[in-house]
Amino acid sequence: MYVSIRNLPLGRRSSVRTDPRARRAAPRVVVLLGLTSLLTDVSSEMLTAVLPVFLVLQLGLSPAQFGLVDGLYRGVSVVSRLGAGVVSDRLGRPKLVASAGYALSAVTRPLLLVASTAVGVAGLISVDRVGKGIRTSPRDAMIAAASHPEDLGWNFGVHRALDTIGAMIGPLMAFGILLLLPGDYDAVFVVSTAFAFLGLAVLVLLVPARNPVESAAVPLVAAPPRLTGADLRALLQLRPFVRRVGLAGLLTVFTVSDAFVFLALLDRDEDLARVFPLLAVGLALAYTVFALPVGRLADRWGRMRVYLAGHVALLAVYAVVVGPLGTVSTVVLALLLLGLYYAATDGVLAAAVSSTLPEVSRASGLSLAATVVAFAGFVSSLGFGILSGRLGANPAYLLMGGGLALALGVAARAVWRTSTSVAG
Amino acid sequence: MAHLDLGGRLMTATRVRLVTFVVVAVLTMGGALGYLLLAARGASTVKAPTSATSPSAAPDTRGDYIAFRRTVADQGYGTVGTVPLADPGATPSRSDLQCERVHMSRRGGICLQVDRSAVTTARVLLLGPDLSVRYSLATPGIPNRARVSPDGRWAATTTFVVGHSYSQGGFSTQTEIYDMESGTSLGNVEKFSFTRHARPFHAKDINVWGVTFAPGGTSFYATVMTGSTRHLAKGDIRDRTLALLDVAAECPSLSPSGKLLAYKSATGPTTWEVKVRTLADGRERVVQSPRSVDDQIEWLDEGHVMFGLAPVGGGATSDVWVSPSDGSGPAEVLIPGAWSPAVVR
Repeated sequence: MYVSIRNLPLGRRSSVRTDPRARRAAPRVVVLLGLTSLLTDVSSEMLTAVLPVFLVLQLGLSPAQFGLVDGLYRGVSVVSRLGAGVVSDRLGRPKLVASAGYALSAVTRPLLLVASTAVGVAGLISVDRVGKGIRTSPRDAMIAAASHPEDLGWNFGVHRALDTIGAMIGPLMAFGILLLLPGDYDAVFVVSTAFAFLGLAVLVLLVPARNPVESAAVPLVAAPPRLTGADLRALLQLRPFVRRVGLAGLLTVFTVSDAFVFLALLDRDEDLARVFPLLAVGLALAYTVFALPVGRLADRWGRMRVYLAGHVALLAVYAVVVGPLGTVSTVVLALLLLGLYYAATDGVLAAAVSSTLPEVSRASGLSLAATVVAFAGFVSSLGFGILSGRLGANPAYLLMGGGLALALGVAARAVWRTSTSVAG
Repeated sequence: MAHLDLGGRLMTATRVRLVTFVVVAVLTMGGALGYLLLAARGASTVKAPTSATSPSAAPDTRGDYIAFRRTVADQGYGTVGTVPLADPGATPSRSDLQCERVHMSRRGGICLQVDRSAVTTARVLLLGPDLSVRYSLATPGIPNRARVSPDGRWAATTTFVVGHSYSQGGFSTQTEIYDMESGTSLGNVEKFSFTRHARPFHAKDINVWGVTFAPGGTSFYATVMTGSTRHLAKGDIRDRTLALLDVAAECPSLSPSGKLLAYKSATGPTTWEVKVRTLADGRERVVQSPRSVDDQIEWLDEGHVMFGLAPVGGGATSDVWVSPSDGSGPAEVLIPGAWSPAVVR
């Protein structure tokens, strides 16, 4: 019985659980995974808030060195991600692989207390990012597995909202600790360690390894499906999957990273630098608020449609950034629209992609999608850097906006032509 | 029966997990809270060194001297000390002035402090000749470099302005120049007009750091980075201009005569050696050092440069070293337990 449905995409398995009353709230697994992410984000974001100061003042890094560490920070997680997705499917144990990822990040925290060199800290940051790369796709696969197909957008929204709340608490907590104990970075590392292990404990001890719906439907003796080479080849020939990932890649090529958007805001008004960390908190707040309603909208109206609408919000961000509004209105509007963009793209894409994936290759498919998007983001940053260097910021935004509008047109045609129902 | 058994086992397993989780939660959160409380009590009983804005212990600023940031791990860690130029090995005279970077001239100086409770703000103190605070300004970012012109007319700071992880990192440097007389900032040097090969130069990702002032007048040198390329650049304060030169010099420092330029030259992604360039003919020499130097060079005299070196393997207790500027001899420790030296003569 299980074998017969293992290669069916989630979207066609709507018979598994249909009681709408049971679906009003997100499944316990999703909330617990969200809690794990929340606690882990508190841990990592409080580090991110103080690491620059720690690296520069305590360990004496120069701008170039800091840039290098920063690059490591970003590049490493992408590499580990693809492998982890495949391993997770191959073992058929996403929780095990996700736990390994969370554990790897957690053990780097106490080591920061004894790291006294820039190289040591950079190494620990890289290990932390490998952990992040490893855990993301198996965790998203677990969310998808625990979700009713019609609730994917809502459930990913719940997870991303909890995750983002952690990202807001983290820096605030770090600033609070330093207000209480000026210059005591060790105290920040200790508290960060505590939250990392608490997050790991939620996952390991409270999240069931297999979701109860499926284990009830399947005899306990049945082995979980294992990924084979044929499954991977089938994945690459799965048209809805390939089309969605392709569209996401195409749109992301014209997506200006929010790092550039923030720099553009800074260029507009230097005084913003004083409240720079607050910009990130404001963005996270907007994202959190929009994540749930936009996730629900995605389930009702169509996930790819919402995904495209999110990019319309991004177009509006470009317009606001180059536009003539005053500083305050520009910042508030840009943050609101960016929050909307994240709410309509990050979790929604994960939901849209998982709904096309069979369980057997779900983590692999999610990690492949994430890798494509990350690579497209890299191309975009490179391109935008060159464009704005040659032509200046405003023409670069204009060109990226034009490209995004064209890509949106292409994507909209594809989405509206193929979406016969709102299930996707 | 079998079903009941299974149910019982599952129940027990769930309960064990729940209890274990509660134990973990109490241990992690209790441990963190306990650590914070203990640390807070320790911080309040051992009177925290105040980041005084005015020195009560008067440092010796008579005669020719070297000012520096003390890095000996004691109560005076991070405060400004001075030693006579003629006897750098003497016991330093102390002050209460806390600075991450300090730089002095005969007519005044600059102290760059970090506001450790705010993380993202630095404080710029423009000092009189006796280290008294004349002006206090705020600037965003983390302190990195501070310089004052030889005539005490201008000062400059470089700070890191760092984003947040939501912006996926991304840092930029902010370099400001200050008018020491009026105590005002001339703004971010990135807003100056840039030229390269006598043509206007624009780039989105310009970072400027490490200002050094020419003796007299209004010209200065600095590092300009765009993309991954570092340029030496020559600027003028009055014209608000900065001209990129095709020299890959980082963190420049002009000699007292203004004829020699010491700078950091990258030997690897995070390692540098010190080179001294004769501005007239572009001839360069490598200054000897036991290990990679990451500091803005200070000139002891026309024949010797000084720089700070952290202990092998890193650490907070750095020393100030001296080395012949023509590379003719090895470097040696000049002032132990010191950082950010400044020669006043």
